[in-house]
Amino acid sequence: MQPDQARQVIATALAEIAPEIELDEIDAAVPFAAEADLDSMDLLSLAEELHARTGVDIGDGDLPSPWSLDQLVAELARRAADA
Amino acid sequence: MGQFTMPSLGADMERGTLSEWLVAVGDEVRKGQIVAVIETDKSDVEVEVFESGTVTELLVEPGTEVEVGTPLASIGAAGGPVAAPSEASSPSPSPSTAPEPPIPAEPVAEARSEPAVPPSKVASVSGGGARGHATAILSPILRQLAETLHVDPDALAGSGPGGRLTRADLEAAAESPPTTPTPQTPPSVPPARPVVPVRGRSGGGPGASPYARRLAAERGLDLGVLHGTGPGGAVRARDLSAADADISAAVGADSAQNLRRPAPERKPKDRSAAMRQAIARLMTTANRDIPHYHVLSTLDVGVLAEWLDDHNRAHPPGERILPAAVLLRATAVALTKVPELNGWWRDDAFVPATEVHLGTAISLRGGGVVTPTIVGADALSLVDTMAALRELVARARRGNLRSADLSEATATVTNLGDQGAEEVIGVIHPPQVCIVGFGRQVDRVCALDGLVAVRPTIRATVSGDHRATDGHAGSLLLAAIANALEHPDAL
Repeated sequence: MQPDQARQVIATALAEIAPEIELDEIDAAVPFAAEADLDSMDLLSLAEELHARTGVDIGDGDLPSPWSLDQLVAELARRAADA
Repeated sequence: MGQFTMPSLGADMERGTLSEWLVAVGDEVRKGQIVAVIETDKSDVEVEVFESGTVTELLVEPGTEVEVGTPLASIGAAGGPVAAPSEASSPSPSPSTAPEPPIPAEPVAEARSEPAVPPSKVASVSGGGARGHATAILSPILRQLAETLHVDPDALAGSGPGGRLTRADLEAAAESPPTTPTPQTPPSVPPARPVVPVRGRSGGGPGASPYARRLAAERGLDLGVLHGTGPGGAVRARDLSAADADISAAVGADSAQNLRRPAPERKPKDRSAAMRQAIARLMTTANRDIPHYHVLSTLDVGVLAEWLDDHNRAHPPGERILPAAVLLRATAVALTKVPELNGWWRDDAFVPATEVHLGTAISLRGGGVVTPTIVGADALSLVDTMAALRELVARARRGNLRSADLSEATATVTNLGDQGAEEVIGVIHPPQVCIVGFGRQVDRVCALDGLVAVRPTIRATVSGDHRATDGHAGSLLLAAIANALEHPDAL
C-alpha cells in the first residue's frame, strides 16, 4: 500500500473515532496520541478500525512507544503491502 | 398498570427535559427497552422502561421539562386497553416550564436589605406565606444554587410540594429583574390530553425532533430528503436509522461515508456551559460538606503489564483488554472486601450498598467529564468489564448515555490514563463516601527482593469521607487493589 493510501485509510478510520480531528493539522512527526489528544480507548478503537479496513493488526509491540503519525503510516503501508 | 416516570439520572439531577418519545400509544414495550430520550445538563440519555406492557398513555410532550419522579407515560398489561383521549388525565404541569410569574412587590426594600446582592438579581416576591419555610427545607444543592445565583430563598414562594422551592423557582427569580413587570399571561402548559406531538417547525423545513436533528447532523444526513413517520411527516430518530441503512445498502458501507458531510461539532456551547455548572454545583457541595482524607500507594504493575501484553498479543483488537478495565475490575473486587467504603452517606449515617456500582469518570473531547456507572461491577468478569467500559466510553462521547448508565454509583474511579498526570486525588461524588484515583503508568526505580529494579508502577489514591471512615479503611482498599492487580488471572 502506498503511504498516501495508508494515510487516507487512517483518516477515514479516525473520523469514526474522533471526527473533530483534522489529520492535516496534526504534526505527523511528534507522538500522535498526545498530539491528537487520544486516550488508550481511542487508540484501541483506531487499531480495531484499521484491522477491519485493511486486515492489518497493529499492536502495541509493532511500533515504538510513543509513536508518531508518520510511523503509523509507514507501518500500515508496509504491512498492507505484505498482506 | 404502571407508570413510567422521569428517572433520576445522577445524584445532582432534579429535573430533565423529555426530548423525544421513541414509542407511541399502543406500542408493546419490553422491560429494558429504550422508550424515550431525556435531555440533562450533561447528555442526551436514552431511557429504558422497567416493566413490560403496552403504552397506554403518553403524559408529557417532547420539549417539556419536568421534575424527577413526574409520570411520563402509563404502561398497561400487554394487550390491555388503550386509554381514549377523553379519559386521559392531565399532564403534570411542570414548574420548570410554567414558572410562577414573579410579581414585582417590594423589590427596592429587598435590594436594600441585601446590599451584597446585585440589584438586577434580587428576587422578587410572590406572596409571603411560604417565606422562611422554604429555606428551612432547601436541599444543600439548591441552597448552593441560591448563593450562586445571588437569590435570597427567604424572599421566594416555592412552587414545589408544600411550598418547597424548586430549582426552577430560583432560576426564574435570578432571571427576572424586579423592575420589569412580568406579563400575567399563563406560560405554555402541556395540553390536558394525551400527547399529540406536532413537530412542524416554522421556516418551511421538515419537522423533526431535536434528537433526530442531532443524529442527522452527526451522521451527515439531510432531513429534507428523509421520509418522516412522525405526526405530520415529522422525522424521528427511527427514520434516520432506516435512512442510514438505505444509504449503506445502496452504495456499500464504505462509500456511504463519502455521501455524508464531515461530522460537525458534537456539543453545542450551551450544553458545555450547563455541564460546567453541574460539575461546579456538585463539586462545591462535595468540598463544602465532605471532610476528605487522602491515602496514596505506589503499585507495582509489572505482573499485570506482562499478563496484559500476553493476552493482547494473542487477541485481535476487538478482544483486547486495557489497563483501565483491569483497574476498574480490581477496584470492584477490593470494594467487596472493604464494604465500609461502598455505599452512601445519607442523613448523617453511612448506608452500605449490597452490590458495587462503579462510577467511571470519562473525559469528553472539548472539555467536561461525565461519570456514568458500571452497574453490578462486582459481578462482571474482566472481559465483561472491558466490554462495559468500551460501550460506556462510546456512549458518553457520542452524548447518548442510557438511564442505566446514570444509575447511582456506590463508589467512583477516576483514571487519568496514559496521557495523564502521575497522580490524581479525587473529589468525592456525594453521597458516595470514596473515590479511587489512578495516575499514568510510569517506570520507577524500586527496591525488589533487596535489589534495585526499574518497574512499571501506578500511583493509586483513595479519597475517603472522614464522616464514614478513616484512613485505615482507605489503606485497606489500596492494599486490596494492589493484591488484585498482582493476580490478574484471578480477575
